[in-house]
Amino acid sequence: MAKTVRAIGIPAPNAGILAGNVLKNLDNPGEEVRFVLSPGAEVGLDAVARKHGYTLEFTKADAAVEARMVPSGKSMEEVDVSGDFCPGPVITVGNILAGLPVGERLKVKSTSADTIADVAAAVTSSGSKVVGEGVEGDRHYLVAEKAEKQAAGAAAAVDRDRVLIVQGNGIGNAERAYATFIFSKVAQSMGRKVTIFLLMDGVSIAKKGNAAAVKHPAFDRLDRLMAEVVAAGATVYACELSAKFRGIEQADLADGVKLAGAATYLQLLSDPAYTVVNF
Amino acid sequence: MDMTYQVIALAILVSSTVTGFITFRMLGMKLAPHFGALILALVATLAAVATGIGAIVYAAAFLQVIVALTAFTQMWETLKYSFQTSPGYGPHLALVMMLPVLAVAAVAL
Amino acid sequence: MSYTTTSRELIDLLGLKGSPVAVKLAKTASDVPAGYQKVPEKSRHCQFVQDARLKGLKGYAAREEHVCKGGAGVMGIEPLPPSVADGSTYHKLGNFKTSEGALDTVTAIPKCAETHYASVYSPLETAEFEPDVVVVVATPRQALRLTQAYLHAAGGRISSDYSGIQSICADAVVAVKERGVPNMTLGCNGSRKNSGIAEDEVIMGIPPKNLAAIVEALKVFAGKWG
Repeated sequence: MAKTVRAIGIPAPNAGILAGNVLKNLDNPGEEVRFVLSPGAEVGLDAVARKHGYTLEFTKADAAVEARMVPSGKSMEEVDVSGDFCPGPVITVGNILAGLPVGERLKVKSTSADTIADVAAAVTSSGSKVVGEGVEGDRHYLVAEKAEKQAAGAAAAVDRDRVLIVQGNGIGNAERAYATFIFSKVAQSMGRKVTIFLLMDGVSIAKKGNAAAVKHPAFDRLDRLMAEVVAAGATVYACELSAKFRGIEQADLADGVKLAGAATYLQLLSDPAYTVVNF
Repeated sequence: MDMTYQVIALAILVSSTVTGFITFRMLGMKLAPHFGALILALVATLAAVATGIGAIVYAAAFLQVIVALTAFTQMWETLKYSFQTSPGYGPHLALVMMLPVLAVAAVAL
Repeated sequence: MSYTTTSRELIDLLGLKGSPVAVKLAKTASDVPAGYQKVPEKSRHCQFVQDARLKGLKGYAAREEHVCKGGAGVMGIEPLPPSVADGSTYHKLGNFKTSEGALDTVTAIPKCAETHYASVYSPLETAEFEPDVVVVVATPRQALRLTQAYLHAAGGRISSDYSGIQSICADAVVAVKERGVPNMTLGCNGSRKNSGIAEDEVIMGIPPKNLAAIVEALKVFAGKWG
């Protein structure tokens, strides 16, 4: 477990002197130590860290700087989930996080930005925090910090101003496919934010060119409807597993559609702000 | 030429207008080429059965194959990705996919 | 672990007036060492420390026994009173020119992250519990020797931080308990006026695990410097 030393108000170089003494006097020498400092007090801290065999990482909160010292060699755990597809990455990360003590961090890397987004949803849904994100070379990454899952507090009144439309039917069922977007338009006209989750056959709607072939005499071409709905601010997800099942890759998807994993779906379903509808 | 095959083909064409109508409503797609070929094939097959004239039998057989082909080329993407919904097309497809074989039999046997 | 010998040696080697004080913050009532009673009279934390140092007081003080809520507050025994926590008390007392400055200081005062049931006190030599911190009230020269003894093993420098308020509670006990590093502090109006910390005395809080090495170093100094 990370030891926290609150040292707000102690300026450099005293903060560094304090830090050095803390590191020399740890009960568990392999411990990670987290110093909470006033801005500016972190000057010189990297030298202290190096001297005692630690690696230093900074995060800045609003009024404080957090300096984490991790024994070098025992650096933050990392896992690369490139090439693995939903639900693999989420399950892999979930298992590692479950075994970490509170306060410890895990870096998750992948060549796919969508996978990282899905992992982020899984991390926050399980009560832990995402404390950093970025790109390194060809890898997207996030840093997750294990936290205790908070029990739900008193149910606050939540504005149900969002609509999640789940569609498991694809271009092989024109009426349902049309209903997805026509209903989206209605919801948008009523001021609701729309998210569409296409799964199973539904991902066929998302494949470039497919919706253009669907046309009912009384309505506009399906792809035009979809484009209008997206332009009006809707988010359209295609289930990664269903796409994979059908040999559809991210590059095959129409503009504005993103691959998403099970964790994203679950997060949307669990969010009390969403009204969920299935056609 | 054994006309039996053409009679069966005619039966299938007539039956498939109904199953095809039910199936087509799921698609929401313009299938003009398919319908055009279907009508021509229906007329030609009727004529072939009624007259038994060799040339007409050939024409009918050819059109029957075109009917199946035009449907497939337009619907391929749908069939390819609709794992869950494709069984709904099953009855119609099961019947009409017999046409190419019957067409060949009608002229070869 | 018994600190009887260690305590005696500290007193002798340094020439301390009174005893080093063992202080422990008990999380729950069952955490209070067996046989310890509540302190006989309500008072302040700094007074309890002085009484243990000079009069051999042994006992514990829970919420009702702590008269100084600032002290009890930073030790987690009760919530800090709002007027202390927002700095207005110290602003009114005249410590700080502006209320922002007062708030700044109070925000930075070392405070326990957890809550506690009571604070427990005993002269170190007779303490039947493992202290969280050992508080030594000393002259500057004695504090010098303690500092030199602390640095003797591995060298380096020592930093002490304080703010002229809540000295014996926050600086000498809470800071040392939370960080695991000694801290020296110069007292405060409360502790000097109410608890009799003398003109020529300063206060040091020391983690118990450093005591053995400190005593060894003091013996080396006694040998070399007399």
